Amino acid sequence: MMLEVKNLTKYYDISGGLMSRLSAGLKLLKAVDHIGFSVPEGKTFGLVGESGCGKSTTARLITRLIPATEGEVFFQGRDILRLPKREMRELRRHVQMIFQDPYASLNPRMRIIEVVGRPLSHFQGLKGRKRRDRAAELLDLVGLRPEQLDRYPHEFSGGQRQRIGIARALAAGPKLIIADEPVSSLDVSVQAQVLNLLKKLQRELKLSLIFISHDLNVVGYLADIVAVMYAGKIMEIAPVAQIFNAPLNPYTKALLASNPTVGSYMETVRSPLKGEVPLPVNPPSGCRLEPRCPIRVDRCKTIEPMLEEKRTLHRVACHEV
Amino acid sequence: MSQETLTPAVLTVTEKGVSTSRFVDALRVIARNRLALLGLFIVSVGIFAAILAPWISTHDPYEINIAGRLQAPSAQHWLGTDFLGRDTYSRIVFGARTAFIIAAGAVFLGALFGVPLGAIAGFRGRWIDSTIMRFMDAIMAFPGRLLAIALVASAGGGFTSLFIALGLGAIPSNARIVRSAVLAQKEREYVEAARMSGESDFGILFLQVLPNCLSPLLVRLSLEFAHAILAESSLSFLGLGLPPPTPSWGLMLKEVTPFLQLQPLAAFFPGLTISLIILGFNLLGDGLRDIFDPRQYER
Amino acid sequence: MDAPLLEVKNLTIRFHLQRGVLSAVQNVSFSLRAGETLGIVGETGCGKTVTSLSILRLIPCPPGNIAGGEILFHGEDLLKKSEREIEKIRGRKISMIFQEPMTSLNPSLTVGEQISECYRVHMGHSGKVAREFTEHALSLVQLPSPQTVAGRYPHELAGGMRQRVMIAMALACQPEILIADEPTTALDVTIQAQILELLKELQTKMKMALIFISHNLGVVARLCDRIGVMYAGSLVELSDKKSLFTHPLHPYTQALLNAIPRPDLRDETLKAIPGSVCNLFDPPPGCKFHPRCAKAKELCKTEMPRLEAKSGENLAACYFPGA
Repeated sequence: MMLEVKNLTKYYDISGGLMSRLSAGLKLLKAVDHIGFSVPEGKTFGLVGESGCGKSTTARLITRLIPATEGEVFFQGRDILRLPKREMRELRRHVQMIFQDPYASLNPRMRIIEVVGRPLSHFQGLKGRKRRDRAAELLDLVGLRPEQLDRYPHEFSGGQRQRIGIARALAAGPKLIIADEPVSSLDVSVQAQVLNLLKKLQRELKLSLIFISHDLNVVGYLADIVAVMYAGKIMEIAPVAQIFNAPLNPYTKALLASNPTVGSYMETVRSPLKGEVPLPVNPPSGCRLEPRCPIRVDRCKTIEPMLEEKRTLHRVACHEV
Repeated sequence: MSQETLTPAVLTVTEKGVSTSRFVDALRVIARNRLALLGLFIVSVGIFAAILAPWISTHDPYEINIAGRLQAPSAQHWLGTDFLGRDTYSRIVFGARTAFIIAAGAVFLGALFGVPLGAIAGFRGRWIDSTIMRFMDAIMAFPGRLLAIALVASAGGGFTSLFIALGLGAIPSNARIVRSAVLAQKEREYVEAARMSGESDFGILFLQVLPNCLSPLLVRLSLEFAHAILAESSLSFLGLGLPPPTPSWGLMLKEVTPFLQLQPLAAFFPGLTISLIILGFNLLGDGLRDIFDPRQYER
Repeated sequence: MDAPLLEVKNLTIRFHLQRGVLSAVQNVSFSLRAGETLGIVGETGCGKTVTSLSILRLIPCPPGNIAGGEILFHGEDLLKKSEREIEKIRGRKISMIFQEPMTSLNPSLTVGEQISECYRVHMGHSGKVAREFTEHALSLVQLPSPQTVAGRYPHELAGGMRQRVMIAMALACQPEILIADEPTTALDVTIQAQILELLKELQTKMKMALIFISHNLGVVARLCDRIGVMYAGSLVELSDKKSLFTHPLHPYTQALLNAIPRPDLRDETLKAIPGSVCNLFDPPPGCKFHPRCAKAKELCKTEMPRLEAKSGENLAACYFPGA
């Protein structure tokens, strides 16, 4: 296994000041609540869910951009969350990230040579001519021209910026890349270019990839294994074919039914889940989906379903399957 | 992406157009803004006068000529003479030197301490932030001019104590501006990206975040320059600033005040100079604010 | 066949910006029948939003300039009407909802106050009657406990509920046409499905025509009868839903359909469209898609194709349409 996540948890105290805590009590946002999964070497692990389900938080916990409340993340046997600061910086050579917003994720005042070159000097110790040559190679690898090295980010389109973000991640020479909604702000035609690039790079460089998205079509296209998150919990993990052809959890089924695909043009619209997507603030003890679930029973309200293997390699958190 | 009214949608389209550099855009905005251009002109004249004072002055600013005191403007003394017969024009030109040196020193001092303090407070947050900012509040609690008067009165006039007196008052406002700019920037994804690229905290703050916070600071500094010049003049006018016979605009005003009825022009020119320079810096500052406002780039 | 309710003819809109003249919409023509759902799809900057805004005369002029064309509503040209006359149509006969409800709702008024304002201004109802109508409108968009929601401020509502409030407000005067500009783009998938279902239901109930603008072909697929595809300011195809998805006529439509990732085709490389959208300040001569089109011939590079019937009632602006 390239990466193993166990009991990973992030709670935010959103009670506000002391006064409101005294009057309204402690308010905990359980953004990520004891989740676990593993990412096999050279595979793409897809993480899908709606806004606020904790998928982006998970990415930032694994890379330690934000501190975890609890849990372990083993990367090649070492617990990332317990590494001293210096070793953690060193480890980022192996674990890199691609960000969602192609505009905000590039420093507007840095030329591309700096954006791609800084990780080269930090992680590969490259300087001067060598660094420039390597940066040019990377640009070429992601489909940009080496002479664009001296340009500023605002001179590029959204798709090109995302390619720069990919080149920056590759510069460190990683084994695992976490891509947080890398194509969600791109138009379809550009999105396809970037997806193709990611797929190609993953195969050629034998990378492991954690691909986070709210778009089922994109995850279904790219991922080998898919985990579905809802309100801070993983509801279902299975190989991609099983998620799409034989989903078990009612939430996964609802997501698939709500997913607008061009193949479904003759179907009428229907919405299988009523109500709003909740934020897990002081969630009830039972299943997080219970208030919206079409197949709920009494015990769903009180007993939380565990993620259990119901079929081979197919784990589901639901009492009713 | 486009969520406001119309313009953002249009802007996204235009982004695909030919790109021009930010600098050219900035110049274009200045050129369109006539008042900013006027401000830039006045300030440049002031700076040139300060640098070239020995060459563009017509007389020695210290040369006393009691016989020719309080003269009206003439071919020999372009702006007349003061109560000791010194050439007003030459003293104004050398006064520019004094004013700019003190203002630059004060602004530099204010930025030297204010910027890093504000940056660290904003970037680190938590108790470091509270500690630094409460300290800044404490300084701010004193009215700036009063603080300066107290400092100069206790330490005596002169360049050094004026630097400190005026610079100290500028630290908190610089710190506040930088802090809020850093707060806004540090939530952006490029900061996380920099961390992933192996950048240290120091590198992230000073190499990545701070350069993006300079725009509001620059506006602030240009206004502070005006403020410092005015403060130096007022202190000197009150007799708390530079000692005579230093050519200082405030001092010049003070010295000729008793003779206002004899020769009003002797006070008029130094007063006019102060007003013009302050106006210039303010116009420039407003212009800079417009440049850094991205909404100005289109249309 | 009935006379169309709305007819847009040769609409051309330009923006005069500092950088030059941007042709946002060029020679766009389409018609909308009563009760019909027309989808308009296209990528960022294709002119779909500008087109829809121009119907309600919401383009700021300057820098915008409606350089030509007509927009006929019940046979009368909306572009020739005075601002006063337009105000009687805007919100009453033709209504619009936007992607981000927060920008169109007043943050300092409760939801109920804002909706009853519509009834008072447009229909001249008294405060009490307006309040009753408001509650009815809120229950129409299936908000749980309309009374409670009416007393809330916009920021207290979740995204989906806000969009429902927007719909209630847009439908207050029972318009004949509702223009929905990416109303579900900011929403989660399950919420998006709810809103689409609601729109469809209300449309049938109130017998209004709907123009649904989206960048997402899948969303349009589920909702619309006919679909127009826009590229770089031009309408390149206008077909009924089934033909568009089974036999797309324009190469851009085909390319767009092929570029959508599908879980069942995961072993194939996506057919991305090469290159990027042309510079709208300086579009290429001829068909604007020709630099990215696999089928482009010499003719495409010089002559701009017109939108014409190519297969039955399906229109395309292409010299070499179909497979």
